Amino acid sequence: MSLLEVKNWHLAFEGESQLLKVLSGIDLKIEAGQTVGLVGESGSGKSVMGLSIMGLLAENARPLSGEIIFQGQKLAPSLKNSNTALKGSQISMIFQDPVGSLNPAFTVGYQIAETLKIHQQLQGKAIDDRCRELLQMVGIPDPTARLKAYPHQLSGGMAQRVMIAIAIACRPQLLIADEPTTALDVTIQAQILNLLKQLQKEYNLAVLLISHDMGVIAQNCERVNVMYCGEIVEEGSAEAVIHSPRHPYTKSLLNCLPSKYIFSESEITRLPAIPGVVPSLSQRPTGCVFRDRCYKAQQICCEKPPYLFFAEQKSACFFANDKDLGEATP
Amino acid sequence: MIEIKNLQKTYSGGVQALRGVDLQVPENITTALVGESGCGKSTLAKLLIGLETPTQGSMTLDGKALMGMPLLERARTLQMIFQDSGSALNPRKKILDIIGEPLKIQNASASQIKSKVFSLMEAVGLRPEMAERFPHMLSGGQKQRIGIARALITDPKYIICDESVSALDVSVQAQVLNLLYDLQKSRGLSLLFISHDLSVVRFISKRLAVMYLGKVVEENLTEKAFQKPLHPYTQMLLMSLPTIHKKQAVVHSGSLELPSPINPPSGCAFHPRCPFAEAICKEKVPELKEQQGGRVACHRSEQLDLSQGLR
Repeated sequence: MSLLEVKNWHLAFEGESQLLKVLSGIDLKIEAGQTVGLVGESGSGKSVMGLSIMGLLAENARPLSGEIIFQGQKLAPSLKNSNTALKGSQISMIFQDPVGSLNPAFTVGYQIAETLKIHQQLQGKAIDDRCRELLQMVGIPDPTARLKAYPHQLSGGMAQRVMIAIAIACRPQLLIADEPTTALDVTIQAQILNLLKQLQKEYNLAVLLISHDMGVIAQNCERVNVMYCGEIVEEGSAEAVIHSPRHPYTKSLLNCLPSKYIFSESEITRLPAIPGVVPSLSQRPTGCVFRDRCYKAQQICCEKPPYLFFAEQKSACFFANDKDLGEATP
Repeated sequence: MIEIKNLQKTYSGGVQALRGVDLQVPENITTALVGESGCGKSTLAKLLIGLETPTQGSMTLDGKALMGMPLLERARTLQMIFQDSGSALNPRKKILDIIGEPLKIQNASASQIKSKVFSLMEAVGLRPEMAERFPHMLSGGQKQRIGIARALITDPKYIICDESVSALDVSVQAQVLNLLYDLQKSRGLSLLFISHDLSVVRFISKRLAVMYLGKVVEENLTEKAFQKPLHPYTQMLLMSLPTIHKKQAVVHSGSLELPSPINPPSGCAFHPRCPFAEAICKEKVPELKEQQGGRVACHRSEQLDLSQGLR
């Protein structure tokens, strides 16, 4: 049994006059202790998927079909707040903007203690000791003094460490990290990702790492899901997806990364950009969702949606087996 | 060329944002300025464009002092493209008026403005019918193209791009980077490209300046700096970059983060984080001196080979 299983999850948002489909048939599996990446551009539905698991969706979200199962227990679709005991203790989440995710009116110590009080019924000195221990674990110098600090007194990196301390306070099984380092400097990003790796080993923690940065995904994940327009278009081991992609979107996304060319010997005069932009929720194309921007699109792509090839590496593309796709990217 | 000498800026409360910056922005090429948040990159941009005044030091543009240059003249030669294209555009104005405003201030006629706006919109890849729209109707990439068109409309020689592609998705970022690259080449622009992202810098710039806590610590040809950085901080930045090729390294050292600009460390400001620091680094401030065609401010740079561990 997988730790987390998302089966054929369809979700829509209620708009002013119509239902807008955000996620279409997401299948996702996370094993205990595994790091799984979810990568794609803004608007592809990555965060909504994370929030679906946490049960933090907006009021106007409408699950259409499918289910989310955690350790054999059904998380969604379900009535609101029916799984609060799990959330924050067994499954926790950290976000892109760490300073904005903390309550500005309370101290760091208070916000860590809150989780411990609710889920572990700790009290008094036990809480203080555990808070200090947690801050130490996430690498915050002088934890005793820092417990009394307010969020505005912390740098972005330190605030993200505090968020991680809160997230791991109850020794969860699964951590959803939604763009945890996007707002941070590269040096701090490396530190935070390294910290997550350490904690993961220590606790056998599974991580769903949501990011738009293929570099971050490549460095940290065992398996990768590539999302576009609310669908998973490619899935496989990180090695396979990144070094021999089977979907034109994955390949294009890898090719337009400037970091791919940083140690190139010759001068690069053009980045192979993907034409156009991610279509809005109300303007999703029929057939294959990527066809408008795809360099391989043919008539068949407009007619019917491609299916995922169920093999080691899954790709929702009619041309997934074309040779030029599978070639290692330059 | 823009020449910056010993530029200092101290804000009230004792924040030493710039602690003596020496930098040159040559003509017809792109010079990149990199460093972590809080190192003073944006402060430098604000001083150049005239949004703030320096505490000390000099800035000259083609030999003329920037301080005291009439604002209109300054705006004709030097323009800026901002990071957050959304909030850099007035939400109540149409695109035509937004792009044309600098020309209006320069007293151009309505017909002149209109024809110039349309030719620039074409140059940055915007369809002419967008001229009548408002900023909220456009995507992030389109808004940034408008920011670029507005910066170009006075035909400036110099453009400062302050994190101009940081807020964009990778695919759109590549489109805008290609556009900036093409415009730089075709118009012979001199760009000062400020960014925290070294991978972007490798693509767009010819020269590279690395800033740390209000000072330039390395200046070099971009290609050379990527192959063999002269300053340990440049190496640290390069090693921290997550790429799909190499395993990313975490440079372990005493202190984790950028120290406070209110109370900078003694000697070389980088010494608390530097894996190569020795006694002298705590005591003496290193000067920016020539080395292997570049310039570096490090006591130990001549003994170190920093090309290791990058790839």
